[in-house]
Amino acid sequence: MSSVEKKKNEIEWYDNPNVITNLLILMIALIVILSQSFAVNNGLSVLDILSSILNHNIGYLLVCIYFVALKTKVGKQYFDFFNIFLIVLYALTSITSLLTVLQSFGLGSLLGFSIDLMILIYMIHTFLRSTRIWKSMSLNKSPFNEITNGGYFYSILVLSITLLAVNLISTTSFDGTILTLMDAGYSILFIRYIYLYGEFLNSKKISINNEGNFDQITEKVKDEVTGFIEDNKLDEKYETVKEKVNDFVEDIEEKVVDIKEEVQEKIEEAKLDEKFEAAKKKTIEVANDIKERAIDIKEEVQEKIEEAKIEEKLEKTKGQVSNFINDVSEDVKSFVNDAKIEEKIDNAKKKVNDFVDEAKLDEKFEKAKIAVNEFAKEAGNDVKKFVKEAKVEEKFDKAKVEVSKFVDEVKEDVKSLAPEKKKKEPVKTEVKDKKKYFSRKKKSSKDTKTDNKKVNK
Amino acid sequence: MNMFEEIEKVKEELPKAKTISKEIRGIKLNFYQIFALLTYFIVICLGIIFGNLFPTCGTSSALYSGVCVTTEFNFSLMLCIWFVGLIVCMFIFAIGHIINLLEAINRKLKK
Repeated sequence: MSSVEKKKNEIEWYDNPNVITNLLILMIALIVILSQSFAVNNGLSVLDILSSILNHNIGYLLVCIYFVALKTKVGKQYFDFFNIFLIVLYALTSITSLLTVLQSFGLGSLLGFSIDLMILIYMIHTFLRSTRIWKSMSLNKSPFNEITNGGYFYSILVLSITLLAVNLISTTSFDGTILTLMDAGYSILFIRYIYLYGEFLNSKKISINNEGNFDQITEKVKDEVTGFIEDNKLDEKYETVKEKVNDFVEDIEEKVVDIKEEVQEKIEEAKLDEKFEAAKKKTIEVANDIKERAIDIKEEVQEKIEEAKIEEKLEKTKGQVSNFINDVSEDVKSFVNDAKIEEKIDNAKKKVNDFVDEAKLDEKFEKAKIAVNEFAKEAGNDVKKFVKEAKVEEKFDKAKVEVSKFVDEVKEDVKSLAPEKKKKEPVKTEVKDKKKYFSRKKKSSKDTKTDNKKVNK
Repeated sequence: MNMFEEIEKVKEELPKAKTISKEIRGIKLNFYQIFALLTYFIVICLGIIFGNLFPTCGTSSALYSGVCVTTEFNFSLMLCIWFVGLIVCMFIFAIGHIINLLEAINRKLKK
């Protein structure tokens, strides 16, 4: 038989929570069954049995549910929740026992109330110790926490034995004796169960509570801590862990340095600085190109704006055309002077009318006038085209050439007509006729000027 | 293995008091639900009063005999009243919850 098995066998039944819970379930079952059978034997009515049994046994039944639940997985999983249920149940029973004290004051009721209250406090300070409620409600500062686990157990044990004695004295029948004995047994087993749970918690954690004064507690804590360290060889473990951690840190530092060097090498290999400079230059060049292009575009736009100043050009062309017409009129005048027409006018005066009739000068003049008008229209169209195509100067030159050609033609016509009139008509008559002719000519020239102005407009 | 060791391995921790209080504060109750809670509070008080008004026999001259020497607080009556009150208040609370749900559906449909 191994030592562990021996240790297991060494545990007494009253220190084994499994045995205690089983006994508790058995005890509750016996109490319920026996109380029912006793009630039936005493010949009570059904309602009285029900009310009495329910009142007497309902607490036991609810506690029985708790202990049966602990045997299941769900009960074990929600152990803390079931403990709270038990605390609530005992809170109710303690309230009812208080009301019982008020109803029928006596030693028995007082003892019953004190036992219920003590069990409630004991349960709160034992079952809630390993829960979050313990810290949140700061139950460790509670004055009831100063009482030890054993202190609670033995005080309740004494109280329950006293109550048993009181009840045994007051009972006169066999049934009552058995039930009071079983009630006392139940309460003793129940507080034993709580005591065992408290001991289990104490064995898990270092108990500093309720073991004398502060110095004793600190000494005990020191002893327990040093003992725990020696038992588990924590000093050696700490040293080994420390060495391992140091080695690990050194390895990490070395690795970090290596990685840093590798990264620097890679940066140098990649010549990132040079690439950066090249990229910088390229970007500057591109920026300059863009700048130049922007300036060119700006100039082009300005040129286009200037080209778009058509009104100025029209004014210029208008002036040029008017100058040209003046020149033409002057040329005509000079031509007339050069040809000495005034001297010959008198001679041709009489024959001018005939000449006019024969040569149909009026018709030719009208034709010339129409031609000039057409020319002016064409010139106007050309000007419009010029405006559209922005080639005004070239067209103007063409128009100038055409106008000069037309003038030459007119000159030639006039020259070709003038000698014929000299031969046919005397000078005196011709002069009067020529005055009329030139007066008409001037009118026609004025008309052409007005037409040209219209065209220009 | 000790029973408590088994329990210690398996058991779940209780929720924090702060989380419980936050959850309770986060719940918005309508009139029916508040009425149900107030009613249950009144039922609890009534249970205690009725348990005290109609006591049971604590110790009798003979066990379970008709002659009572001392009376006890009627724990079973109190529990019965509490249980009945709980069922009634849960019914009212459930109606309030259904109304809450219907209102939520109505709000969603309006959107």
